[in-house]
Amino acid sequence: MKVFFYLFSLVFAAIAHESPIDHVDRQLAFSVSGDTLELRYRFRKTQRAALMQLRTMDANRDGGISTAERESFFKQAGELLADQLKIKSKGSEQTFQMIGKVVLRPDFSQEFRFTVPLNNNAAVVTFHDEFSGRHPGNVVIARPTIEGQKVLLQIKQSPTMKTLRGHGGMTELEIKIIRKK
Amino acid sequence: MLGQRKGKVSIYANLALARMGDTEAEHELHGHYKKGTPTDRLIILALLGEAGVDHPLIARGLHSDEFAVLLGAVRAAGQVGGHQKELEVVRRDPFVNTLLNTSLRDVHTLAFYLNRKK
Repeated sequence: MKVFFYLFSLVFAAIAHESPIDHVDRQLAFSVSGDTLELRYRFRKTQRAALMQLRTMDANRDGGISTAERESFFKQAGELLADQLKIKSKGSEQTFQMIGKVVLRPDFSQEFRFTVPLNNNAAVVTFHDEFSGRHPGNVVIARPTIEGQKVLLQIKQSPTMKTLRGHGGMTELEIKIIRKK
Repeated sequence: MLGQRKGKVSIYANLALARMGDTEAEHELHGHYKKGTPTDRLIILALLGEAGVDHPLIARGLHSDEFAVLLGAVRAAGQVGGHQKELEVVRRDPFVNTLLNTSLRDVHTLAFYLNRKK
């Protein structure tokens, strides 16, 4: 017990007065096209996190970021993110696929596009964002377009989604897909 | 059994066991580090440093692109010693240098641990 008390005390003494964790604020925009669910996933990095990201992007360590380095990095980053985005419906689980290229914005935000097929015209799916569980921050769900749409989306927070110290934990959403006849 | 519990408890338990030389616990720590949040990684690195355990995760953390992890790794590397070459690579990194020349939050803390003499 003494060892645990010692370790706990030292860690909290070391980190209690500072918050070196970079939170990631994100915005999710869902839409349906045919039998495919599309997600525009935009997240904003802090200036500090964006600078640190350049460290990994600079593959040849020359202190500059070439177009090839940037494209290669964001392709890999998008694929890694896609692996952490899942929908579950009737016991089956599917992972999103990245489409298109990342869009970079001046506020250090990055927008990726992902799609996943909706099996058997699923009417209700749950969305799980494991990336948000590992990199917490605020999440905003963009209001789905209503006018002129043949498919309407009703999105709400899943009852299993937990809140951690003022911001969301892992994002878990219930998405109801209503098709007009 | 203690090391098989979930969450933060498991991290602390495996750290304590690793400190006592338990190789399975050392392996478990890699899993916690890989799956964990930046906070989990920071805790692991901070505790390794405080315990004076020169674990491979410290060297790995020095390559991280997460600020908190890099900070934890630099601090731990200074505490356990023997990482001078790797710390020099971090000091010479152009993007870390750019970061150190800003007034962004906690950057001065990184500079302090990076330039501290053991």
